[in-house]
Amino acid sequence: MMHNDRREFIRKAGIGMLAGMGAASGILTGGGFERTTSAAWAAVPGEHGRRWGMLIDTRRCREGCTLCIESCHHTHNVPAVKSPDETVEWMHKEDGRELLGSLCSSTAALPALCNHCVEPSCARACPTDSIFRRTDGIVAIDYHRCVGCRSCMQSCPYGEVSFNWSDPRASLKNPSLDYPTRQRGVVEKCNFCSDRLVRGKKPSCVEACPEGAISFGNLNDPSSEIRKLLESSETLQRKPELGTRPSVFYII
Amino acid sequence: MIEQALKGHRSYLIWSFALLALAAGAAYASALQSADGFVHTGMGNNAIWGLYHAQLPFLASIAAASLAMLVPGTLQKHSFLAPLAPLAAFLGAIASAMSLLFIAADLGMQRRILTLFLNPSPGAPASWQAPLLLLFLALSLAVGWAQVGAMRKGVKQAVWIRSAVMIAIPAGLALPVISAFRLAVVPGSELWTSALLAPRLMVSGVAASAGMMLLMAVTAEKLAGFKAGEEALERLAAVAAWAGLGSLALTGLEAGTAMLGNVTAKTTALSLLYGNSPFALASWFSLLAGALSTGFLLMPSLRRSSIAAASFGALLALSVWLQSGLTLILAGQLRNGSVAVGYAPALPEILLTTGVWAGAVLIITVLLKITASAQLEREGL
Ligand code: SF4
Ligand code: SF4
Repeated sequence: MMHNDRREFIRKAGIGMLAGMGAASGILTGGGFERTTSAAWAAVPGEHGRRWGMLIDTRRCREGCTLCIESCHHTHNVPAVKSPDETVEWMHKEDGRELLGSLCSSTAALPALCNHCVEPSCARACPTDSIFRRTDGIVAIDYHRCVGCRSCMQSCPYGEVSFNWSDPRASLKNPSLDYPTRQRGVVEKCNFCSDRLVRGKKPSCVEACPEGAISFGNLNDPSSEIRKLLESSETLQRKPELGTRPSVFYII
Repeated sequence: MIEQALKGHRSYLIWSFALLALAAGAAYASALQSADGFVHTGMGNNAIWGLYHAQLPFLASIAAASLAMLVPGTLQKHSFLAPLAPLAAFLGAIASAMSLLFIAADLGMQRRILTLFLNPSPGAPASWQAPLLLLFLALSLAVGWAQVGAMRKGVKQAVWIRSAVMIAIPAGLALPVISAFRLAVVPGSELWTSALLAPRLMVSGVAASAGMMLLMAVTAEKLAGFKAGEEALERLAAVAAWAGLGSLALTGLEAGTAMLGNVTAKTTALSLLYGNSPFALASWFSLLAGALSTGFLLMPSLRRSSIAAASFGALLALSVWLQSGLTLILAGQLRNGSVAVGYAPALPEILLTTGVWAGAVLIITVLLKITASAQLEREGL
């Protein structure tokens, strides 16, 4: 599926991608390409099948609020490791400029998570196929197959993969029974709540946000709410120039 | 022929026991690590890979370079490298065995190591590494052993050796390429995505392995009566010199392109090595040592003296180890200097690394001893 996607991407995208990137960097506004807008979505051509995506409205995200992160970490038994050199995170908050570059006007801390890239470099680095892209676009990890070589961690340009340097179970105070815990020596990261999606629930961070700042849906469905928002808003992705094609977008 | 390993002068036995003790230290450190994980290492979120992974590109380049001496020494008649062919084969075998050990040491889930062989994902360069290393290890070990056997019995080498070497050529050449490609999958890291990385590993590997073989052959000659032949040694020194020059040239080309183009990403990558970086000292030392040893080895009058050639060969090998081993991996994972948190290996990590090296030196010592005895036996001494 990944290869199909890639082929299709090369066939259909080509120029559209260039136009979109040019537009995002402000170079090609109104050039001769098919469509130029500063919305990051313009960089992504229509594709078939499902591709889960997320849209974070930075205007609504409250300064100092960490409810999404707390909910995520509790739902998935993410250990709260104390040592800063060994932290494990599925979601965290980072300065908007650091996250999205100078086009982002906000220097407030914004939520960041795995982008569930269409071209995930983490998956290209894994010697055992333990981190892989599913047909619905979610980049998942098989904790029972991972050998702990940390190649994925090294090659995620967003630093969104965490390694369990120490025993994660020792740092869990109030474990949730709905999701397994991990062992020392494997990597972990956001799974786009694939565990909740199969039960027909929305991702935990989406539900937890009191401001409704996080939307979630199928990016390939033109009638989905997330697509409408993407098409009507100015959005950014993290480091689009790296060609990873993130599925997490930010309204600025 | 194995019994020769256990006999020898006192100094040989003391040297061997010292190495054995260091190797035992590695066993201890590795036991510690299996019990408690990476808490006994300097690795963490700021240094995802440390001393262990840092050995891999260097060792891959040594394994590939052993072919440069093994292939002509085995496949060509009357090659000046023929007496060194088994030595080259053993060097390749040892480098790949060490790589496998370092890969194993670097796994968070060591008991799943077989997954590396049973569940590869062919699209990822990393999954070719361990299986190919194993193949190369088996081939070069078999070739080296058979060659020493043939030398001892004074017979012509078996026909299958040629086929084994033929298979070893693509496997060995792939090793540095895979090492480089494992790093190339990291987008945004100019130090690692450079197309010159694989050729640089290959050329500098030839320089380093010729340098190490000079050291090995000269030491074995002085201490155990091993005979490589004067011509072979001089040519080996010439190989080291020219490969050293090639490696310096590639380093220069990379730096020149970065500075002339003045592309921020490229100059940042350079400054991670030579600029305001915790690894600048090692990088500069490596560069100067490489230039110095290459310069001396290029002088025919100097490289004819076996002691001088062996010392500069060793210096060249050290320079390459620092460049393609240590600094490449450690500096490469610094991101934009913003998190220029240096990495300091912890004691168990150092014990394990030196122990693996000591084990390798021990095996080389024993193999040289066996080869020298085989030579002596053949000459009826
Ligand atoms: S954000 Fe990183 S971990 Fe997530 S899919 Fe992309 S490359 Fe992989
Ligand atoms: S740490 Fe695990 S998931 Fe990541 S690359 Fe290694 S084996 Fe794959």
